[in-house]
Amino acid sequence: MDKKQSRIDNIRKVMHMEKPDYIPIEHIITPEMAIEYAGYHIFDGLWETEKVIDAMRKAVPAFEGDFIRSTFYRSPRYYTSLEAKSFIQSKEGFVQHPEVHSMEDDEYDELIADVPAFLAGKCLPRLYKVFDKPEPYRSMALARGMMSLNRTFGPYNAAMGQLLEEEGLFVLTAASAEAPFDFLADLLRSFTGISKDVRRMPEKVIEACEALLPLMIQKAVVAPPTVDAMVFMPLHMPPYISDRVFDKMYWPTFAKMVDILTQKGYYLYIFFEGDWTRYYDHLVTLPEKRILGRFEYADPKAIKDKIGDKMALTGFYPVTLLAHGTESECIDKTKELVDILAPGGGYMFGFDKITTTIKDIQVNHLNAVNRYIRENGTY
Amino acid sequence: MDQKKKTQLFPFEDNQNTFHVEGERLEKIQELWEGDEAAFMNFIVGLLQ
Repeated sequence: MDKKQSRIDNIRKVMHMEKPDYIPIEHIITPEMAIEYAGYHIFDGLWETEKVIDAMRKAVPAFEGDFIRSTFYRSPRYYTSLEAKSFIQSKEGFVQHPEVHSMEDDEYDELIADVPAFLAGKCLPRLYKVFDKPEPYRSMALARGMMSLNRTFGPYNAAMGQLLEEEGLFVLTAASAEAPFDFLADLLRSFTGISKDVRRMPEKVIEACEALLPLMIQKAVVAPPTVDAMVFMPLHMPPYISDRVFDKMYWPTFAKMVDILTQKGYYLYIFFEGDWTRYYDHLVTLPEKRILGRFEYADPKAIKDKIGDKMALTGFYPVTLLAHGTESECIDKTKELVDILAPGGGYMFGFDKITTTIKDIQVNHLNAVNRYIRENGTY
Repeated sequence: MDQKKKTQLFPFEDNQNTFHVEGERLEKIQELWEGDEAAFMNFIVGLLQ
């Protein structure tokens, strides 16, 4: 059996709560981090496809890993060509998401009445200035944006496919989808806007989440449901809302989305961003053996005890320790997490945050940690 | 639950006269057209994520 297939089979055992052969390691590399690792300026690397490809070719083989969560990056070449207000490249080169919104508080009824028409006709033009141009420049500019997308990700995706095949690796997720409340809170109403809406018009927020649900599911089901084509769901808002708002407005459509996707056979990689301590009792009710839960700030023992026989676990490891700790502190933390989370299976090694810069780590510390997992992570 | 949400900007009915086909082939073209429309909707959602 080839390396890639044996890695997929091992991950399947982790997801099904069977004893795996060894603890799988999530490869830490992201394109942004690879660009810096290869010695390019982040600004140049994100614009020039050949540089990001070269960077990934250097960085991926340099570190241990059994899979990569995603090789996607937000291309400034694409967003700039669409004149985006939502994703802007900073002077330093990183693509950042300013606080913008594309829907007003008096437009809930319009959204609920016809979600696709509202998103396409109202929200999109407000976030992408290319739509303000007179014809024929508007159509031309949009076509040019699509061309930039194809000229960037056509060669990039082909090169990544080849690179991962050579390394016996694979991309674990095939789609990225949001919980309806998060989608509403991000670029539609913004953090500030949704924070007011949940108090002033809770019923409209609930109706909007229900109306958005079919589209969020549609965005998730783009590949056949297999363990090496998971749906990535980063969850944003729960740490910032009250228990009442979570129970009434966030959880119902999120839980329904998870139920529908898992019933269709999908595996979900859910990133529980922030602190979910208040919601452990909700997590117990999620479907079994279909979810890889990544935790940022959490008590690993409490999570393992509460849901460790239902949900595969990853995360927890503070990536800042790799940058600021000593090598022995890094190893001690690895051992601590392995001792708590690995027994019985259901654990993949990964960090609490997604790394975007090489400054997030010290390379020798990362290598020492990965070596520890390889040497001590067999069952 | 309807899993083929579309923008409604490019309805099949507005374009089917250009295909000059009938029967199973027309049904197949409609299926592909609507698949493209759903993918286009996903593209728009992606721009709003």
